[in-house]
This record gives sequence, C-alpha cells and structure tokens, in this order.
Amino acid sequence: MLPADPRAVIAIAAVLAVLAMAVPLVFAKLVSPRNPGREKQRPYECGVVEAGDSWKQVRIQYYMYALVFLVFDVEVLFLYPWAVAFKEAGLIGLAEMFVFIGLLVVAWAYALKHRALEWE
Amino acid sequence: MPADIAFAMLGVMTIGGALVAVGAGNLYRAVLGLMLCLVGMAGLFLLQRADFLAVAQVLIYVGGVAVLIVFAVILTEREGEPLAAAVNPRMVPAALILGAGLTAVLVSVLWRSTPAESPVADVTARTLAEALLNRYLVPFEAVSLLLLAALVGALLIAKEKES
Amino acid sequence: MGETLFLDLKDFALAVAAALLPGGLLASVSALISAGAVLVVAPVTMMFLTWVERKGVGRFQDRYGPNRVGPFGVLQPIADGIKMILKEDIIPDGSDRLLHNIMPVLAAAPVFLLFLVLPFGRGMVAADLNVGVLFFLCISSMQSPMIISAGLGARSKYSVLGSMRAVVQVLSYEIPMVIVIVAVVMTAGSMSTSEIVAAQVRDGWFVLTPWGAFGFIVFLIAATAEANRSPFDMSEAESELVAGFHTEYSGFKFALFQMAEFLSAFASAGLAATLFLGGWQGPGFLPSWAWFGAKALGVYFVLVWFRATLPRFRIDQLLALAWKFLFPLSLLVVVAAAAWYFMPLLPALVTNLVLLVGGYGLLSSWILSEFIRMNAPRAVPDAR
Repeated sequence: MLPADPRAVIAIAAVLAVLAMAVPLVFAKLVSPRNPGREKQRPYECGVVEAGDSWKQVRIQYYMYALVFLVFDVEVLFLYPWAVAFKEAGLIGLAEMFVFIGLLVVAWAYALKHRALEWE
Repeated sequence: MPADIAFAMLGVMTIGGALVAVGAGNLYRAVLGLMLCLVGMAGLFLLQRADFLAVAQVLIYVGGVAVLIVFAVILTEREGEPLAAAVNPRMVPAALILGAGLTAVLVSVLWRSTPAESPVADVTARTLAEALLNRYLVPFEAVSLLLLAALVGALLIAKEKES
Repeated sequence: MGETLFLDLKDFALAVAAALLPGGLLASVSALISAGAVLVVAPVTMMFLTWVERKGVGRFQDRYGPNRVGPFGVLQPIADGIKMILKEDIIPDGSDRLLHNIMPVLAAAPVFLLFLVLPFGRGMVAADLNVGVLFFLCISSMQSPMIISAGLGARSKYSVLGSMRAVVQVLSYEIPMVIVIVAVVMTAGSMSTSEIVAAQVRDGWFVLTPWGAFGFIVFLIAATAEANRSPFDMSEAESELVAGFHTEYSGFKFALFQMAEFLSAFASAGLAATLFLGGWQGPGFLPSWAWFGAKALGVYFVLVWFRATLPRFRIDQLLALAWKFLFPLSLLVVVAAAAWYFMPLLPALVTNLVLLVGGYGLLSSWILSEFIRMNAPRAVPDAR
C-alpha cells in the first residue's frame, strides 16, 4: 500500500470538487428552458412588487456578534497547540493555561455584562 | 514537480486575489478578491508543510475577518451607488511608500538569510506548544490580555456608535 | 472479504496504474484515487440521506414519505436530481450575476473536503493530516462567507436577512464546538482524526466518561446549529423568510445548496462518531467501515429526530443558548477533561460530576433566571 501524501489528496480533491459541482451546473444551463419575463425576474417578495432596495442597513447586533466571535476564535485557537502537548506539559502547563482561560472568561463576562451578547 | 505546479497556481491565486482586492471598483468584488488571496496564502502555507498555520489562516481570516468585513460593508450607510469603492487621491503615494518599505524589509531579510543546509523540521502544533508554554510564555499570556483589551475597545466603540 | 475491501480495491487500482504508467506518477495516482473515492461516495451518500430524511420525517408525522419511485421510494432522489437539472435557472433582476453563478458551486465544493479527514474505517482516511480536526473546522468555517455572498448576490430582502442570520448563528455555535473539541484533543494527545480513534481504542470511547458525555451533547447541539438544521433553522424559517439565503436560487443551484446542507450535516455526524463514539471501532462481526457508517447514520438519525420533534427557536433564544449556556459548559468540559487525566478514577469522577452537574447546574439556572427576567416584559423582537 502506497500511502498518499495528504496535501496532494487535498489539492486534488479541491480541484475535483469544484469541477464536480461546476460541470453539472453548466450542463443544467444547457438543457434547462430559458423564458425570462419581466414579472418572473422580479426578486420574490410574496407576490407583491418589491419595495425599496434589499441592501438596507441592518442592525448592529450582527456586527457585534461577529466581533466577539473573532476575539474568542483567536483565543480558542491558542488552546489547540497546548491541548496537543497537554500530557507532556503537565500541571505547570495546565496552570499556565488556566491563566489564559481565566482571561477568556473575563472577556466573556465583560461582553455579557455590557450586553454585547443581547439581541435587543 | 507537482509541488511546483501547485506553487504556481497558488501564487497566481494569491496575487490575483490581492490585485482584485485593491483594484476592484465594486466593494463586494474587493472583499471576494481578499478572500481568494487569503485562501491562496493558506494553500501556500500548506505547501510549506506548516499545516497548523494554514488551518489557522483559514479559520481566522476567511471564517472570521472576511465575514466581519462583509458585515461592515452591509452596515455602512451609503449614498447613491451602493457598492462603489471609495477613491482617495492620497492612496497612490501611500501605497508607493508602504510598498517601498515592505520591499526594503523583504530584500534585507533575503540578503541576510542563508539557505538551510538540511531540510527544516516541520513546525507542528507540538513544537508550537513547547515554544508557547516555555520560551514565549509571557508574550503568550500577553496575547490573551491584548485580545481582552481589543474586545473591550471594540465593544465600547460599537456601543457608542449605536447610541 | 469485508474488513479490507476498500483498501484492496485501491491496491488493485494502483496495481493497474503501475502496469500502465511510469513509476514517478504513482504517488499522484494514489492521491487521485483517495480523493476520487471520497468524491464518488459523498454524492451517493447525499442521495441516500435525502431519502432517509424524507422517509424519516414522514414516518414521524404519520405519513409514508416518498413511496412511488422504485421500491420504498429509494429512487426518489434520482428523480429529484433529474428534475432539478431540467428546471429553469432564474436570475432575478438587480442581482449580482457573478455571485449568483459561482456561489452555489463555491458553497458546495468545500463540503467534500470535510470527508477527506474522516476515518471511514481502519486505515481508511483519505488525507491523514496531523491537524485533521482543525482542518475539518476550518473548512466548515469557510461556509459562512459563501452563505453571505450567496444571500447578498441575490438582492432579495429574504435572502439578505436569511444569510445574515445564518452566518451569525454559524459563528456563535462555532465557539462552543471548537472548545469542546479541545477536550478531545487533550485526551487523545493529537489533532489527527485517526489518532483520536486510536486513543479511543486504547482508553475506551470518550462518550463513556462524564466530560465526554457532556462534550458530546454540546457538540451535537452545536453541529445541528452549524448545519442550519431544525430546530436552529432560523435562517430559512419558511413562515417568515421563505427559504432564507437561497430564496432566489432555483433549479440546479438550489440542488447544490441542498447538497451542501445535507453533506455537511452528515460530515458533522461522522465527526461526532469519530470524536466521541470510537469512530470505526466495534465488535469484529462487522467490518470497521460498516461500524463507522452505522454510527454516523445513527447520529444523523438523531438529527432527523430533532427536526421532527422540536419547534424552532427564536433568534434571541438561539444566540443566548450559544453564548450564555453552551459557552460556559464547553469551558467546564475542558476543565473536567483535565481533571479526568490528572486524578485517579474515583476523585476524577467526583470532580467531574461536581463541575458538570453541580457547578453547571447552578451557573445555568442563574443565567436562565437572568435571561427570563430580562426578557419578560418584551414582546417578540422585530425581525430586522
């Protein structure tokens, strides 16, 4: 058995996956009917004529959640190298990580207290 | 040989994405170009056998930062043409100065470094952990504080805008 | 026969390739076969899953589900596929044609990469990366920019709102999921999926430990939410948002979004089986890949069960569940897993139960009371 290089497999699979999705889509374009019409091309709005632009300003909460997510995502990513070396790092490594997790909890409590995690 | 082909393709992807990100007149196209560039860079990391870095790159930049930028685009109120990229006459000199500085740094690094005699050992998550928990412990914990500060600052600014 | 069936097939294909091609290409051919196998298996699985889903939900609702095309309706997915291809592709006026055309492809393609790092059986992982689990997470995190681009590209109010909601939900549930996996990686000492299964062969399934059981629950909830499945299908709440971010996509483009959804749900079920249920491990009367398939389908069935049973969350409840309830629980799971490793069995058990049942019980009931108190006087929040 020849073990395949995982990077090569990923590269080939990525190219093949895009092709495997795009080729049937092009094929569908060729075989499907095409009868555009003025009413048919309207964005769907439950049957009435659309009112105003759809790119309205949305509420800021979406942005807040993405912001908080990004901070936690970066912090959590730092846990992974430690998790791999968890057994070798021993209790000292654990203590070091608890300081890190402690600051994570402080960040969480701050966000909670200042209602960044509320949908209002 | 296959690695060379992959490098060429990823290089085209990265540089092409970056050019679209800078040059596109449509703001959303610019964001898409940025994503393409970021994915291409992750691919380059993977090619250099820095798996953890590649994965972290996609997880943080494509899954986090790109989404944040998209949200920012949607959140901003626009007049007239909704997605026209802003053009600032000072952009060109700023780009030239920054580009020159970056080139200088890169050239000096290349100048000083010598080619490795033996293949460098892979940087795995385990070696990263050893570095983080021993030699770079203080910077590592400082990262946590820095992120806390970033969160507090970001929330303050966002809340201020809201009210 | 059985156990090494697929590996033998690959060896056979390689032997044929070796006879026909120069030796230098053999490594590439090996990679091509591994990648190709996954890419063939996944769409077939998807067809089967749509049938399982419709049949299952049908039975839950006391009706038959598809039963016209083929025996028990098993050929229904093929009929659906042909129909999707033959449907007209409508691109609404004012939508971004480039986004509308490429986003279905870019949303569906990464999902296939998820299957590369899942160990389908003993020695059957297509790409055994040493950061396997994180690779899975990073590929699934690529879905959020794709979803939002698809929604914005269509320029319909429903799709914009649906994609915003979908992305916020995916982001929110990603955090507890990623933290819970830290506990698994700690205990297994590796991020490689095959080594995580090997660790469970050695130490027993993680779901059988207290931290593992809680971790499994968190993972399952987060995975359901990540896949935008009911009861977390806010993003495509039919009664208010028509179909969410893919409202304006018809024909084969719609099929691609459906495929992405089903396959990522199944991949998550497979990851749950790998991380907590011992992966391909099982008694020897069935081959290892059959065990993996059975476990993954079992988890998938639970997801169908959720869908048939639970009513939909409101968006504020959904976000509160992720940030206020699952986030602290996932951190406690990490602490409990550390205690489990450093302590002898009995104290470890006591510490785990005190932390997870006692500590979390108190914490969550306090948070719940606060949540109810804050939300009591208000009516349903406006949908914007």
